[in-house]
Amino acid sequence: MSDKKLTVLIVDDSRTVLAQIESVVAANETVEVVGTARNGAEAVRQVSQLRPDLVLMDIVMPDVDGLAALRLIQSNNPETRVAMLSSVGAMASKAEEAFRLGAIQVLSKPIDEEILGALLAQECERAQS
Amino acid sequence: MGVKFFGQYLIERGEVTAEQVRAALNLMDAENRSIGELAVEGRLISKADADKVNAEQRHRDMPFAELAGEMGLLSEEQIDNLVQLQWRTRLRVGQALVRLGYLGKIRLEELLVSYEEEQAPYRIENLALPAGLEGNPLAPFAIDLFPNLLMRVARIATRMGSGEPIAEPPSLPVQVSVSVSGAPGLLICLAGDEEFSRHLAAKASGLDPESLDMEMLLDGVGEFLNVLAGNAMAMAERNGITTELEPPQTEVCFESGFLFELAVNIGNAALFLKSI
Repeated sequence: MSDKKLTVLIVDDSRTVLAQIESVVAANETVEVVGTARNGAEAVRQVSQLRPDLVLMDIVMPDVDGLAALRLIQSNNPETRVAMLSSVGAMASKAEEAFRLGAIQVLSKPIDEEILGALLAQECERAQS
Repeated sequence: MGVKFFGQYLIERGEVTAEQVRAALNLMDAENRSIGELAVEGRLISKADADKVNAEQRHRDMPFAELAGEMGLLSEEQIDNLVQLQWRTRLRVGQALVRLGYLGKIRLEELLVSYEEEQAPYRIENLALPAGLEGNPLAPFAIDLFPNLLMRVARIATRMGSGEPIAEPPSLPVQVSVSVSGAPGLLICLAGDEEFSRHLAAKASGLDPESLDMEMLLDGVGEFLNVLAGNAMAMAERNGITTELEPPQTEVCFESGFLFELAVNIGNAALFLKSI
């Protein structure tokens, strides 16, 4: 076990959602938000610069959407673990595409804070083992 | 709780891993037939014509069925039948997981029952719609899910009036819309006074209501509409209807649609729906 925190990048075009996820993450002392992005292109750049352990990313965003960004992230930085968190996450077509592209989980909105908390705990455990 | 894809439900419960779902999706890809393959097998078009459509797809980003229809190779009725056939015969994720040995058959049946029970609040039955919205595949789900999601996201209790053709735009200051494209699609607009919108945005973000500026109020209402539209789209997709969601807009056009007055316990609000 190490004391290293799980580093997280949050990607969503909604300020409301960024604030909500940040508050869930803040409740876990072993997780640190290292950046936020408002669209897919910004997310791809930030992943290369910040090398977060985990990316929590929306799907429907302007310009480069979450699935296109996921494809680029997995191609440029395949070690990055990405969970999608989206209002269209319950659509089988979107969820299936995300899993095919390498997502580790697809959560639908409204955000279930308990499920998001469990995902963060699981990723912390994985990062520290 | 919320509308969810069965694979998500299984992962959330720890029944399978994301890697196992990915393997199941690969099996589905290998076994499920495309609309083009079904059309050739059913002798609705020749292999040569199917190849022409595939070649055209390299230049134009359109689904096979839509393109074949445009090229005069398939009728609308044939396309509808093919889409239904594909939907009825496709290998589902649960079945694929059983085939791969990641889930037992009996366990799958148990999980399908509990999944259906969890999803039951989101199922609709015989909802009466205004004449202009009848036949719209998304409108019944949007109307049915609205009170449930408003309570869940913001603890706002609401009763919806019947939709009336809009006479004039609602005089409420916060107005946001989302468009769902499809055939037909749906424009969903939510208008609220400051009290309603502030409460909704604060509950959705977890922030202090007094700290929210107008941009944040619009953002919060827009995010709620995203959730409403996304959940309605997921329900419609289970009936074989594919749609796409556009990000929220704050320029709302209240024309030739239906306004649903809302009796809410916090502030004032109205919902507007229009087939597009």
